[in-house]
Amino acid sequence: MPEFSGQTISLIAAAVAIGNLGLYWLRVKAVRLPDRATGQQVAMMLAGALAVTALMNQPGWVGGTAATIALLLAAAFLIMTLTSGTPSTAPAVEVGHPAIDFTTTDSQGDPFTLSQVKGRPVLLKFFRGHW
Amino acid sequence: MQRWEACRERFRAIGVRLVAISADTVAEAARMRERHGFEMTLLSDESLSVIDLYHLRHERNVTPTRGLIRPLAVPATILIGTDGVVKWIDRSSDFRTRSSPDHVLAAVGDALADHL
Repeated sequence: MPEFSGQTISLIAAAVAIGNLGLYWLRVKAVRLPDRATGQQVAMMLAGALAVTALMNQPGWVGGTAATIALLLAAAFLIMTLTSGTPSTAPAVEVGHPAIDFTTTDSQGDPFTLSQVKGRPVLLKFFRGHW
Repeated sequence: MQRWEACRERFRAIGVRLVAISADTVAEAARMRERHGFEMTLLSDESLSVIDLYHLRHERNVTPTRGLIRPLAVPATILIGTDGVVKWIDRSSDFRTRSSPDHVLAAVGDALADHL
């Protein structure tokens, strides 16, 4: 079995981390994120483990930099994806069923009631707002 | 939301009114409206009562400016026809990602055509 140097391992770790992040970005852009990013999380854990292994094997400054980048990317990816998954519960409405009416307040402080919107379809967008 | 506002005229052209709702306070929604020049309807659901009504609460959010854990709405888009019936739903699986307006415009156009 070939023996890899610390620098080689760190470059592999960086390639896995950067490639994985690129793939995730492409999926975000294409609006094709899977419900669970388990495969990519495992890949990032692998990149992180490789980076740690590289750092323990005197990778030199090039390898050390690559391993650090891989480690940071892997950690950031795992924190972001592990905390960002949304609940798996289905919305309370279904296509073909009536929308649930509600009254709330608009940005000008006036009451807004969904059922009072007449004449044209409504695209109701739930968003995170200021955060 | 800026991308959505930029597409407001395109939604208007296909006869659709944009209404956006979040857990922001009225003051926060007003600031967002003023800062970005939004003309779409922005709604405040500070108590999350509407968000809960639609089962769209996401309890654990890491937010940069408002504390580590804050409940917010799951990003979702619901097309409601003039008859009050839901025509199309798009729900995000990740709170950081939303469908692009182009994607939604195409889907909404198809959904409305299917129900005419």
